[in-house]
Amino acid sequence: MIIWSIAAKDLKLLFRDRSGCFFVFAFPVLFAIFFGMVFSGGSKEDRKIPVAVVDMDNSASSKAFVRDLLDAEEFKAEQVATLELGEQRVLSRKAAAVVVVPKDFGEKQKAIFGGKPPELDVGVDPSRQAETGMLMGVLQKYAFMGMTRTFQDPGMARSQLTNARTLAKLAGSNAKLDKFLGGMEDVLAQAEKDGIRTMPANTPMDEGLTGGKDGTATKAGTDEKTGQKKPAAAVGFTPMTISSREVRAKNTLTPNAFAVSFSQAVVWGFMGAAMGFGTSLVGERQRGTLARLRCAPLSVMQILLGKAAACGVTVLMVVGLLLAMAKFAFGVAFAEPVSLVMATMCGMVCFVGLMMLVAAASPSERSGGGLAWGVMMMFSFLGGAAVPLFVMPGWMQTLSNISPMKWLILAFEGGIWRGTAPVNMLLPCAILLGVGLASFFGGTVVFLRKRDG
Amino acid sequence: MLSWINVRKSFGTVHAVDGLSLEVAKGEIFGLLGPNGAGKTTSISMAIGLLAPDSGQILIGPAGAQLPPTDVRARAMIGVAPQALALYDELTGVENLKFFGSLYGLKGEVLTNRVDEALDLTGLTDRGGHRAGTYSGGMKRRLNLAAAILHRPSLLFMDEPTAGVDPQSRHAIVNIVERLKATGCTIVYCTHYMEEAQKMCSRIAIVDKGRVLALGTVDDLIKSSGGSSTVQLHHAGRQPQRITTDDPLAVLSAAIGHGDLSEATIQRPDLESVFLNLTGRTLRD
Repeated sequence: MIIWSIAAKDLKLLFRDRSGCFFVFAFPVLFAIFFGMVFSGGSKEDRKIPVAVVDMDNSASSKAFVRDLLDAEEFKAEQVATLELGEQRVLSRKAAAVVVVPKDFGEKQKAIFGGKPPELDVGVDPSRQAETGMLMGVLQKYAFMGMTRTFQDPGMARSQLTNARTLAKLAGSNAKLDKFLGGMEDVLAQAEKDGIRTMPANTPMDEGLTGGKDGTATKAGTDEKTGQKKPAAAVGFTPMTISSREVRAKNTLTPNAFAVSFSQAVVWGFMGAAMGFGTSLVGERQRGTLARLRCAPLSVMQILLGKAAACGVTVLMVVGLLLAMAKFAFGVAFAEPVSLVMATMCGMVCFVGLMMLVAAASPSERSGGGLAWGVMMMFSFLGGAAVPLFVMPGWMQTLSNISPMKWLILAFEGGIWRGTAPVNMLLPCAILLGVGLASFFGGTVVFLRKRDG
Repeated sequence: MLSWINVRKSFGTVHAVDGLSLEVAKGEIFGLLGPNGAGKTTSISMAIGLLAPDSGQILIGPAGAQLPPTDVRARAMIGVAPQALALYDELTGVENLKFFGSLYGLKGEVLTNRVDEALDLTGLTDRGGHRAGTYSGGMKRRLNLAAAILHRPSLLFMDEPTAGVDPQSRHAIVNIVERLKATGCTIVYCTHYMEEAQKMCSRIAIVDKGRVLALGTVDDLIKSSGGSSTVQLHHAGRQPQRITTDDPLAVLSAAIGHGDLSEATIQRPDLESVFLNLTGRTLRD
């Protein structure tokens, strides 16, 4: 009975605290809906990987291949004129990768059974590694599609096979290649006999011929065991090889995976500091010390700025600690220090302002903690601090623009490893400053309105 | 030094302060006496600028230079020992006092000396280096008071300063108030303990339901609203006799004349009876 009395009292306290109730009951529901929407994947269009395509060859084959990529259902592909433009698309996060079709693409594709196959150069965004594997697989699929197109022309196919036979004889005995070429000649003869211009789907094209064990391409013709470069023919048949590299700013001294992880960690550092101070003003009110502060010969603005300064200093200490660890413990080189300072200062203003709004709006320490946590979590999930933006549906990616986290991550990535020039930091910095100042102003208004409460 | 001029304050339908008009003179200890919920704390909250009155005016400072409590210069003159303890438990007594002193522009050696003085006055010198969270309730009350007097305010508000403290701390607080009075500090002392008010206050306003029911010195209030004294006489072999009179000494003298008086007690009216006569309730109702 006593136990129930205690429990009933605690439940009553919980239900009397409306904002506390919101975070206990409503927030998890909203959370579930959010993730449901994220992982439902949105429309087919939303799931496409944005890529920039550069055709350095401009041959008929390369144009056809580029056309395949532009029409590919897996890609939201955009053709750009130069490699620099393509890399800029990646650096500005408008594309997950830049696919470079090399100059000799057409020539090498004419002799796919001899010599080296054409080699695609794919520059990927280091922060979107999760998409890279899928990207490679899809590119391989279109490479085979290109080869299929070659064999749809019987004259060209016959020429390729003859050429391949000659090269195979010169290279010595290769049972797998012999079997494959024999199969191809049979299929081609049957197709010519039947007047069929399409290669059957079950052609034993990939029977033991692709470089990787799982059917994926072997990177740049490199021996998996020794790591030594070797000709594509020696690793087995593949219609083209694909080499990937990370696209980073030119002034990045030491490419480092920790550069990406620390860019994200800084955001969580900001959140932790802001959440801690989000409840401090409420704590002052509940402790009674706020009344003493307000009786002192101080203006309200002095009190609020004092609180903001404490939060700001904490934020700077957290960011400083993280950046020092990144640099000295993990060897991260900062691509653009001026941009990094801009990101830090603007992020500080933003989060201090948000903290002030949360603190002023919170009626109790418990609801203040919940509100700070809820707001920060919502912003972090929406802004890509927890779930990468590219897995979200398109409309959520658009909605993510309202999250200061998105701009904070962008700003820190710009300073740490993307090498974003200060002038290109103006947009994220302006947004962060705007959110911070508007929140601080809103918090001040709410605080003043609560004076007589 | 302090004027409430026809001040009103409501919270929803509750009239917490209803047309309060009071004048507090320089150097006096002015008591605000009333039961819980009488409007004492609301009146003080308006006087220190924490609440804005719905109507009326509050002015602080010497005649001719009075300022509203929201004025920074007025706030520099006042000290507040709020009813709710306003301290940082995580800081030591010294750290608390140094922080609150710094809000009034004290610094360096002056601040250190003032902190030492305040700790000495409140008997906390030995515990100044300990965290406030480790203090007893009475010690916290004294530290709360020390924080209010660091900057030597000319007007000190004390809201229920002895609420919930042990007799030793209560005695210490009363002594501190008397020492402050000796320095010429004007004190507004808000309490529902009539004994304290009766002992310390130069003048008292008895308030209830946001209104002043009576105002004057303790003697004036008792004379005007305290009612008669009660004399209880015990004669050998007879039932005790209770006599209500305005002249208890005359009654006692007459009883002694009869020769068989074994015991006598005189119960003079006090602030409790003043309040009872004015409201029909006791202060602790």
